[in-house]
Amino acid sequence: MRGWQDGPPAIEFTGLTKRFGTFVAVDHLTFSVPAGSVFGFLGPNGAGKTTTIGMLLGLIEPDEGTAAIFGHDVRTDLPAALARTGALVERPSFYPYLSGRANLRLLGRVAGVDDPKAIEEVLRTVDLTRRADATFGSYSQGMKQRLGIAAALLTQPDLLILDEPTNGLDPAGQHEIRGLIRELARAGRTIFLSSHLLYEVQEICTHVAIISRGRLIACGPMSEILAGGERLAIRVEPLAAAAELLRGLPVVRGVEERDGQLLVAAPVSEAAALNRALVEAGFAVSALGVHQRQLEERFLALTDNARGEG
Amino acid sequence: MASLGTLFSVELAKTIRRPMTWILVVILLGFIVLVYTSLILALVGGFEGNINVEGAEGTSLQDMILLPDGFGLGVSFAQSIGGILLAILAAGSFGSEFSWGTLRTMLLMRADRLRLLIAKLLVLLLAAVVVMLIGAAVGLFGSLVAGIALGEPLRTDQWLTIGFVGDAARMLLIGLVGATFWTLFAASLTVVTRSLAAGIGITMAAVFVGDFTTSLIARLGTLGEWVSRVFPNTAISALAALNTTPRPSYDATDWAWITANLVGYTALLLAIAVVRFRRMNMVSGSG
Repeated sequence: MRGWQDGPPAIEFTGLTKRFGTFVAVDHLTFSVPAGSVFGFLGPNGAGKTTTIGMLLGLIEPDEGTAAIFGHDVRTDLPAALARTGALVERPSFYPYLSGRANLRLLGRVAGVDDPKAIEEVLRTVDLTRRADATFGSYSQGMKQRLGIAAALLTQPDLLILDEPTNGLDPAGQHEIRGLIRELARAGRTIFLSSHLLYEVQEICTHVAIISRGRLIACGPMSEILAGGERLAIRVEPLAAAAELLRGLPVVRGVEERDGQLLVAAPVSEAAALNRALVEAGFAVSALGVHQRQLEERFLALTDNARGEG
Repeated sequence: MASLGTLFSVELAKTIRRPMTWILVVILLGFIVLVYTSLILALVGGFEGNINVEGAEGTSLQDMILLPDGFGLGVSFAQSIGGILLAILAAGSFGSEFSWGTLRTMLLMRADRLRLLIAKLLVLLLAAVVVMLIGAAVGLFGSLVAGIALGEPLRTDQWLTIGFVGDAARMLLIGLVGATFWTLFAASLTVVTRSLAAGIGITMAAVFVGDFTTSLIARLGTLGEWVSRVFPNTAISALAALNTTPRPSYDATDWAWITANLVGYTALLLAIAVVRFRRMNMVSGSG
């Protein structure tokens, strides 16, 4: 692990706000991203994720508040903030008439990376060496995304910001990019991953922030965000009558029928008692286990609440 | 952070390697070669049509493509046709990058916005110089070829002189001012509108409709003449008139309004481009 993990957070937003006319795209956003984390940044379409990232990278001017990367305020010290940052924002954007390699060489000159070996290394990392001499315009969506990540890696950044990196990819391509992100995280980089693919974030990220309508509605380690949501999953026949019975028990807070099983909101310690109650009432219990709350459920609950309050 | 020199070299490399640049060069050269070839063929073979290639008119036409006047023909093509093509190049230089999203990529590579803008404008200025030099080369070479094709003497006594070099330099400078102004106009408009089509369209309208309108206004007495001087077209036309025969003579007042007009508009266009480019939102999505 790198020494900088003891320093300031990789990213820190303080009251960050952006308005477009009367529309508030980002509303006093305040949270920080621990160095070394794989941080998921979630929100429905139009929640303000890309606008937030744009402000973080100096691509959009904030109206209020600050954004800092490794302690460097992007409004007052953008070069220092970007010096340790690589980013892929919105979509991979390159010169369509140049090859992947030529694009990286050109951008490398701008970023101060003149060493051809560095370019070959990032091409190898994203597995694009074989097609590096084909023009960017001829690339598939997956290859474009990989070139985007290669460009973000050119300066060997400590912080990698990826905005919807699997957008437009087929399942195999998404799997490939997720594997690449895991590999990059293992190398000790902080990764800030914006996505609306919840299973993707749950699979990869150690921390998560959820925004809706520009406002932060949840933030913390993934385990904390998902905590307190365990339910018992019971496969039982007949389903409807069993649900009726369980609803009548004092330890049960709620019962939901889903995918041919019952999801029962009750303490895990009461599993044996519930099983006994069902069996004694003549129900056939074929399976009983703990159903871990999925990020999707938490996300939908939080964003629904936020919509209701809005 | 990349220096201005680095950004200039990167912008130059992008421009040189871009197919659009070479398409514009081919159009410019093709047009000039077509005109020279047509004139030479008409004078050599004669043709039935509205232009008389015999007698005094024929001699005048012949003088137009032979040195020393033939040089001016090449330069005037470079300024007029080349100017239009440069405006397209300028609009493309910004407009295509907006639509490709590559300006964002450059900024993510820590390119400073102001330096990037200056580098792009300097490359366009260099392109204007190259276009004028192409015009000069074609004017010189085309006139020599025309002389040989028509069996005319080379008339070196008329163009291998210090006076001709001075005239040629003046022609090139005036052509460069005009071409550069409309290039900057197209670049600034594209930065403001973020649209290649708007950049090209408005510039073409400003050049052609502007020239026509200001020439009409200028004929409406003294007031009309002064009103027309508010437009850059009038100042550029006044400069271009110095390349014609007979050459007009301007007094201090004339030079004052020509200079104020062009310097004022150039400063305004640069200021608009700088302010807009520095504060521009480089993210298009709203996610």
